Amino acid sequence: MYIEVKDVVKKYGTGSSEVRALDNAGFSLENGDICVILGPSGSGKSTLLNILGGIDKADSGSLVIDGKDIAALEKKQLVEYRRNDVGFIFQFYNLIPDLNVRENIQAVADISEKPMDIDQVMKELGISEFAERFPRELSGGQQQRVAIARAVIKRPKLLMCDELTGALDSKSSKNVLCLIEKINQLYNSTVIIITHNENIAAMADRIIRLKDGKVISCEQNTNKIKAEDLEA
Amino acid sequence: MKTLRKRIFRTIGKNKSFYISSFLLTAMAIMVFIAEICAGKTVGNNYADFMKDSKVEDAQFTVMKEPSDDEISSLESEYKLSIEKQYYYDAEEEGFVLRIFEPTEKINLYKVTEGNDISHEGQILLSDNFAEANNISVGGSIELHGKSYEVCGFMERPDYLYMIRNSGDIFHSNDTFGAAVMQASDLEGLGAVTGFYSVRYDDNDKIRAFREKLYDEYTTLSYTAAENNIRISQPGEIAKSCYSSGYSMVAMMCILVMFIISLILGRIVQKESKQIGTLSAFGYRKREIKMHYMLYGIIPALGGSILGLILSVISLKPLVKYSTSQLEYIDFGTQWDMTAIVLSFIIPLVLYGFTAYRTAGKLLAKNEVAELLTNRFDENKKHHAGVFTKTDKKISTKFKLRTLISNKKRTVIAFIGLFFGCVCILFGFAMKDSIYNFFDTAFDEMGKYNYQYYLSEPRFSDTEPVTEGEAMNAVSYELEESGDMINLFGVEADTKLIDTSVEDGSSFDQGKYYLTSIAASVFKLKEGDSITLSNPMSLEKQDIEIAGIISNNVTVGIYTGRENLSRMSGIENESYYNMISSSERLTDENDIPVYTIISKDSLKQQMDDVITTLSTIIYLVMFLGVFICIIFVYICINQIINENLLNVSMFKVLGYRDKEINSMVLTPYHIFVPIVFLLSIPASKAMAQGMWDMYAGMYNFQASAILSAVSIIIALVLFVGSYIASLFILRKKVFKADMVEVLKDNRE
Repeated sequence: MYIEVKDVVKKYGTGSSEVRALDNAGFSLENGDICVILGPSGSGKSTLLNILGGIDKADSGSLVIDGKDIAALEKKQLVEYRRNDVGFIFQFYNLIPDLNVRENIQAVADISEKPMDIDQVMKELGISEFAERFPRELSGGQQQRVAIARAVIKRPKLLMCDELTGALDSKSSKNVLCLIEKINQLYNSTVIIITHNENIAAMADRIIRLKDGKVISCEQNTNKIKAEDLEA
Repeated sequence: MKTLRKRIFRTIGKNKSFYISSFLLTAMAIMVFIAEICAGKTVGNNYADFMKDSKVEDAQFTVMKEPSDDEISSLESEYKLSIEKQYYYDAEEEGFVLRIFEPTEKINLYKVTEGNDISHEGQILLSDNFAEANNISVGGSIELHGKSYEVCGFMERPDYLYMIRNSGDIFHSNDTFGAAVMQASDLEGLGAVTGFYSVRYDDNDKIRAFREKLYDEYTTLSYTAAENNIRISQPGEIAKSCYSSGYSMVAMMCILVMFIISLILGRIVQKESKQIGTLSAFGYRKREIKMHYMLYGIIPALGGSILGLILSVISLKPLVKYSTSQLEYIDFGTQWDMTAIVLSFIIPLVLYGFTAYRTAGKLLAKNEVAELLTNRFDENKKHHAGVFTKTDKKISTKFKLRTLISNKKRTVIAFIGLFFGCVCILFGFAMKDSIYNFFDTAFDEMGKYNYQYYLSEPRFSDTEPVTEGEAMNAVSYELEESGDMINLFGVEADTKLIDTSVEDGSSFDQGKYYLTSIAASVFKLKEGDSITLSNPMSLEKQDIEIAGIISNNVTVGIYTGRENLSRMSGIENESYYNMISSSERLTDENDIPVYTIISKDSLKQQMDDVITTLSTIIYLVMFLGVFICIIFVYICINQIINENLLNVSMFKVLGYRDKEINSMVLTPYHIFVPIVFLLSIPASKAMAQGMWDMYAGMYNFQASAILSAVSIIIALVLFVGSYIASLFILRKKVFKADMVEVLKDNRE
């Protein structure tokens, strides 16, 4: 088992205003899986992603990823975990506005142990021609491709995608999903995609549904289809 | 608009570090400005009032032939003036000298400040500072020449507000010299009294005629106008220096501080572009929006001014007390300068209010509402595009360079703030080093003598040669143009005790006139200048040319040969009125009619007292420097962090370590540290030299500004320390940047 999440609880607020963003959530994933986490707004998807990615801490429960219980890691160890193992792609790209395309990617390559070749990645993602441009000079789809390049440049074992097509049109969305699938196949990265979009679930190996912080289902997708065949 | 105004306080809350800093800085600047000017006004007016009420003399003189009472009456009516003969006796006791006067009736009237006036023999009134320094209270007693006198009260004389024993003294110590008043019969019982005449003029046009008459009829031996009497003129000098520094240096500092704050304020309003766009979209008129944002500036301006005024009310009295610490203290009410107060409110209001108003106006004028709503106008765009994109520099270096370029105003502010702070720190050290250097060199520059004797009657070198030193003559002259007094020293041709080395290397010519370096600085004269000297007794004029400058930063005067001076001032050729010696101090047993003795040690002691007073200012300036460095770095870096919170969080998400993030966000100004420090060294030296030039006029000594290697190193540690301290405080803010919250904000 590559990822094993058990009884994870994350609470916000105290007393009567306490909200359980994650309520004894649990599931497991195999190495190289594409996992889609579905759920309505407020179901705890982003919280789960943040905790899995080491940018937030669970109040209780265990999250064993590649044999490491990241719930027990210290702050400094979490930095190393994010630095070496995890790649993030966000809905609003979160590119560094003061760095151009190449520099955004290079910023991650600089701190990676064995980064991929920047030019090669940019070429594969079709962003070479924008290398010297700044994020604000790109369209949403172009920015998302830069965000993907930035996430994959370090060869992450785990790729976290937070509503990665939420801000894109359907054509750009499909392109981006195809890229994610390609990366999954090329580098055997485990991919976790959180989304509202039920259609995306069709490309997953495993589909997890969240509601009110609880995992209401975690099933193997026996009818997995290729990203390029997803409905628009 | 009412509802909208609630936002102002929320925005202030969001930028509280800036608003607190700007509020305090404004208040401090206003406080110093108002207090300094009002202190000048208080000191100037109150001492002037006291002198007027106490009928301070316009001049004092001594004559060879004493005028009779009838003759005095006749002089008074003819020249419209008042004359009063005054007597004093210097009671030398162990540890102190008390100059005791008999009560005056017409001129230099003393004022009882505590207790009661003398009513009978055996009572004495003491000057306040002397009594306080010696722990003598009203009702207590003081023993003089073995007899005890009852201290019935304290008093001040208008001609002894700056309490120095000899007119050539620089400074005094309250516990070693003071003034007193006792009945004439008591005074006579103490010993031989010294007399002099005080005069008050009612008609200034008759002064010259009176002085000519005085010389012709009674042979004037000495004449000192009040403006040349440091005991009388010093309060005015102190008031003038407070007032002028308030309206020059302090005012400049205030405006600089406020200008810097207004630049940052402009940036804060600019960050509100989205809200400005929203208000505009809602239908708010441009003027309404601009007026709304003007309040962002008006609040800290008004708050800072009010707090500054309150602080100045609190600090004025202590400041007046500090400013007059060298003077006899007179308890009087404080006086306020309305111009300064009005300016203290207008300047920050205009600077801050106008900046906020103009920034909002510019945003509205240059951008469409849609652009403002989406932040698409972002002015950084033009700066960033193409900057360092093709270089091989590290990402962190590029990030820092773009931070510097993206907001040039902030970069300039940080540079100026660091420079200003560093100059203050180094200035303190330069002043300190100059003082120590002065002590090491200046007294040697005066010459090898240790004692200078003023004789009460002339001696003659042919019949009474000086065996343990050298003969010398010192004659006071008035500079015709300014009326200032200057001493001319006539030295022996083969003098070994006075250093007559001329700065340009030429040899000392006994027939020429050489200005000391301190005199050149005080009177703004140089080699080759021609000046007209007026004999204060005879009023005869004489033109002389400055043949050169002699390095001497303690004696304000002109050196020439003794024979030349005798010829010039009509003294008999072989006679001398002064002696200098390097050996033991001569005593009365040597049968020399000594009137006054000035020793180098006493000058050093006086200088030491001046320095003790200056030390407080020096340390205050150094502290101010550290404070300025910390506050400016804090304001600028804090703004960078705020602007880059999303980037900081993103770097954290990407796995950057805290140290790596700090090296990008906290260090863009590192490059300034060595540059600023190197530039500050000559700047602080120039500033210190300017300060010594100013003090030269007040205290008649001048130091050369120097900075020792040790001081430079300590200043560097202090400067870098304050810079790092500021970053250290801000490090926490970077640590605290929340990855989850900031990502959420971005999502919104």
